[in-house]
Amino acid sequence: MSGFFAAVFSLGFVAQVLRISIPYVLGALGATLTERSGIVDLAVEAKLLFGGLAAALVAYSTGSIALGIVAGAAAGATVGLVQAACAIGLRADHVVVGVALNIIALAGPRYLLQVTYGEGTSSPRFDGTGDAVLTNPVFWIAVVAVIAVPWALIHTRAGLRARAAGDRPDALRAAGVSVLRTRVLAATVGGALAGLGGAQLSLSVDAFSADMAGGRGYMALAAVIIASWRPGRAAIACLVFALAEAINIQLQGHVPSVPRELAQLLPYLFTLAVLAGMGGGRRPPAALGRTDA
Amino acid sequence: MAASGAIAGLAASSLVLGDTHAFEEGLGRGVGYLGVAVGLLGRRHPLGVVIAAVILGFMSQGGLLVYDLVPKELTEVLIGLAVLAVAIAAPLVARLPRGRR
Repeated sequence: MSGFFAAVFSLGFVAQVLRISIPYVLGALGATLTERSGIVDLAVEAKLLFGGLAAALVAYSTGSIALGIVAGAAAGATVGLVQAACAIGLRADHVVVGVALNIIALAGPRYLLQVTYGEGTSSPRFDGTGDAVLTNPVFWIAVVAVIAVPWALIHTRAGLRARAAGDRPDALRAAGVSVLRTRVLAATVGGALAGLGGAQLSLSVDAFSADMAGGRGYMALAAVIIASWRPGRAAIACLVFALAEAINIQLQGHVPSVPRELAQLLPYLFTLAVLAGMGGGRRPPAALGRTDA
Repeated sequence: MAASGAIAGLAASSLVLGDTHAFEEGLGRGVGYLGVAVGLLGRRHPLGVVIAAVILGFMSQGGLLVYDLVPKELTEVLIGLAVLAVAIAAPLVARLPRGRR
């Protein structure tokens, strides 16, 4: 037990929490952007998976981590673009589009890996970013995003338009701005952020594996809802998720008397408790999910 | 919600009692997910859900039969594309004039 406390009160533990939080934070910031513009973002999981796959395949074939990061963002942006095209351009049900994209993202990468490398669940290994935090470019991208997304939503013209598209699309239209274009842009940028989160998943462990998102996309969306669609608070919620996950890892390492399965439940129980405890007071964007606006 | 939970529980009990005869980890893997797809494909109508479930069952089993030629992952991608196609088609059909539906 003392080993556990020594591990938790250390700089290494802080680094671990930050590292674990990166995909959550980027996924949640991306989902915040998409949802604030009025699109229900159930496809965070798909963006993480395709972002992770693209980052791994490009990093493997070019040997460049930077190109891998760009590829991850591009893949996430593409998923966001497809999502917006279906949900806004073609007025399909937002939730159904998200679930469909997630189903495709669970099986599609397995198929691609099978066809390309004859190995169905993971990509070839490459030299990634590893466990380091301060030398990991994706970490710094996440830091910049945590500051830039809340600021841009409030203080920039594009941010104002995105919020208007989610709350009062009729007002935006009256001001002569295309609601469709605004939402597609928000979903694409939001998708790129989530794709970067996926890039972190695969680049940090030197390979992509088909199950590596592990529900993080849904956790990120839960963070957005807990935070009442405010990006800064969503990032804080993600840090708390990461804290619960890191405590779980340390518990498993230092306190074998706690059953592994029970410790693994910790982050999820925590999310449920917070969601239940924060019952009322959440205000989603007024036009969120509407296909007639 | 309690009733809906009970129905979902029945699904897993048919698996345990009829097929595997034991609880295994990862037993319902994928089934719950596809269950959501079925509900959406059936457009949230009880009869539509039954039809969608039979179609999905056909696709999954058919995917197993042609496994030598087509990887089963491709079948799952196909199911995802089917859900997406239905989602896109629904508002288009709703906009058709009455007589042409």
